[in-house]
Amino acid sequence: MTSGSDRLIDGLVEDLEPVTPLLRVRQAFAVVLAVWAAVLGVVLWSQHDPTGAFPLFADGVYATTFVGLMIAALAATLSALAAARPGREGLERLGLGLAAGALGVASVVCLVGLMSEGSLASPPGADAMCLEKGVWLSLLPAGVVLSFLVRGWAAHPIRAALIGLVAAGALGGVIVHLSCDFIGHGHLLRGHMAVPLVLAVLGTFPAGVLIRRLRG
Amino acid sequence: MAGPPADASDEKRAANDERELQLTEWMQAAQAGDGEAYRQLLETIQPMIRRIVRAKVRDEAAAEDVVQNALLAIHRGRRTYRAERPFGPWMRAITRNTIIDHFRERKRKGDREVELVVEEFADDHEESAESETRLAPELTAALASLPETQREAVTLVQIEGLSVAEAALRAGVSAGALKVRAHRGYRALAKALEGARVAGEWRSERPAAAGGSPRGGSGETR
Repeated sequence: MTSGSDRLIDGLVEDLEPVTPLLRVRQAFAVVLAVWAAVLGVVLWSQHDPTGAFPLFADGVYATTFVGLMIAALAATLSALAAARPGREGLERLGLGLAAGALGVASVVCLVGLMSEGSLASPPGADAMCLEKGVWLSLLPAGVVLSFLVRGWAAHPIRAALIGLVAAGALGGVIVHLSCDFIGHGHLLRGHMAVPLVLAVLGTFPAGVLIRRLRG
Repeated sequence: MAGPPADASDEKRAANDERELQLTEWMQAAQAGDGEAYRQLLETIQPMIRRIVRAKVRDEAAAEDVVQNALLAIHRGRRTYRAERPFGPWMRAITRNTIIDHFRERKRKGDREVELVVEEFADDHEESAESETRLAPELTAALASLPETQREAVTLVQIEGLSVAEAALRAGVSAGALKVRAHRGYRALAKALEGARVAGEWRSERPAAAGGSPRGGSGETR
């Protein structure tokens, strides 16, 4: 007697087509970073003074925000890439935890800086301008990360989309951070740190649905 | 004293390593398009998957469904396997996720067995004439309301009784795509039939309620 599973196996064998295995996590990670570095290079090169933001690292809050965004970007990128590969749940969870921790710590440091005396108020429209710029600059890295997610097999598409967009948003946030020479702590929180949050809020659901439809 | 158990465990480990190697080879060949290796792989892992699933899903029919979904997921996600990593954990991760999906889906649907409704319709021998005449037009209408691709998938698999492979061949799509279409179709059918049933019950109760109401109300305020 042939069971339903045996019939399904017949169908799957008939349906078999050659596939190219996905890139290793570290290779895909290198691709994402290369794209991000290219965008960063273009943005800095197009500025009047590409190294204008470097002296700002003397400010502890500015430096912590940079480190927080950078760790979040790298960890969330690794986590997102692992999310599309069955059996790599450990790496996914580790990356997600690191990213959330880094963003949390950096946000708290910004808040503390904001409440301290002498914190500069943002010029009108500056927060929205940096936020918008960050979201735009995140789109290319987001596209690359999502393309890996779509080609892979994410067990939880919505969660994978969320992590991928946080990663891309943090990458965009770092670019904005390095290309903006305003050091107000409230501005760092609302204009730079908020980029991953806004991108995740705007894009998680549509990207998750897309991944669910196209995965594998 | 400790000799024989150690030997047995070594033998077991060696057998596991050998099987792991064989599965990896088959999977690599399958990724290159070797159908025979793929069939051997799927036939070998099918009982392994079934064991994992049966440990979590008690209901036999539901477990078989999960096994099939896991096989489909392995098929759809086969490009995510890399030969430098062991095959077993990869397969178990997919199976585990399929089981979790099953429980989530069951919770969401509240144990509503959609396919039973369709089978109820298809099996006209076991149905009373009265209930059949009540259900058939509703199901026909519900089927007609489905998108063309979903209607075709449901009709081929559930009403004509074809296997997934045969139905996929007839529809000119992959087995995976057909199964997805059929599942979407079942879900849409369930929704439509639920609506039709509620409306039917409401209609059948309405005259009695209208006649029996001590206040002589219309019976519409249920």
